[in-house]
Amino acid sequence: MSLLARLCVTFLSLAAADLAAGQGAASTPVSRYRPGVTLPIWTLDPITQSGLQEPTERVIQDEASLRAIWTQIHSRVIKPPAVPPIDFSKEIVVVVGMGAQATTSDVLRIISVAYGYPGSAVYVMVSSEVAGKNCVVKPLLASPVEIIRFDKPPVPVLFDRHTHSVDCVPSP
Amino acid sequence: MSVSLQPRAQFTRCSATRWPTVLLAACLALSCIACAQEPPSLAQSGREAVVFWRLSAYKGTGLQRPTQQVVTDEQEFRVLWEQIFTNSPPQALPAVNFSREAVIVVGLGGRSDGAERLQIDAILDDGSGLEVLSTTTIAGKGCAVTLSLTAPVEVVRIAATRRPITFTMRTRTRDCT
Repeated sequence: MSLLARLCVTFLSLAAADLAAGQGAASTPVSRYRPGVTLPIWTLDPITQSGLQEPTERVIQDEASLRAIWTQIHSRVIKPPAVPPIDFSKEIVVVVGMGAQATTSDVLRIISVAYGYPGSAVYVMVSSEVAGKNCVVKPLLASPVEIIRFDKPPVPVLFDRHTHSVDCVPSP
Repeated sequence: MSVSLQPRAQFTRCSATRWPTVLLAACLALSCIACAQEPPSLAQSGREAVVFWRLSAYKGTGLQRPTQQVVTDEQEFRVLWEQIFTNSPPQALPAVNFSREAVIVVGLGGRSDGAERLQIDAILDDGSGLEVLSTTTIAGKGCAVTLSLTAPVEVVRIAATRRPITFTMRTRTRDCT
């Protein structure tokens, strides 16, 4: 098959998949289903010293699960904050944790939540930055956690995590 | 200050074995003086930090007027939401259950300086009301400034409350030298 023919087949199959995804969601505003569209997300300030010792990627869809993970996250706090009210019929919570780290220099961020092509899933883009060359790291135990909430999507939530090492400029 | 120092008479008579006690008392006294000079912490001020969710993943804002607003119903939220996204691709209005939550919007209004930043630092509860503490960061010495039109805004949501909510804004100058 020539390159042009292959490109045509790929384009047609992607267009068909997109059409199918759009048809399945006929009752919802189109703008929310376009692949690549980001969702407004609400985030809590990052928690560095959480009680989540293992790397975590969790989608929380009910109050009991939220209560359980909230308790675990704040297990190092004497007076943990109250579990926030979430209407799980309309929203979900996502918890991402780096697990126990030997330094507080590593940074975890949820960059965005977006519909992936062809709109059959929502992707939570997570960035983990670890200290690279020339970085002065503080040798303290940390277990960073990010918690976000957003409108419940009608498709599965998947995670897309990128870990990169960030080098520091050596001090003169 | 509750730490009492040893009477002077005993001070002069103290033997080598009592020096650690004296040093400890002196250290405590000094640390108390240092504490007194620092601004009161949350615990000392008797206020609790309220958990709040910050809206992220949005670019720019069309909210051109300075704003400090507590939003308690969907209609009001919709109007503000549309204003915020006037100059950028529209975003679906998030589902907020206003019977359980409230939205707080703080905006600086239109600015011609792309370096200005706004952040809600904390929301404190003293039992009688909530105080929203925000910081505006402006470019200082040596900072690169873009000449872009902006209107920084922070949108957060908290558990609904019937108590009064007040706003306090401070300005910080960033030094880039």
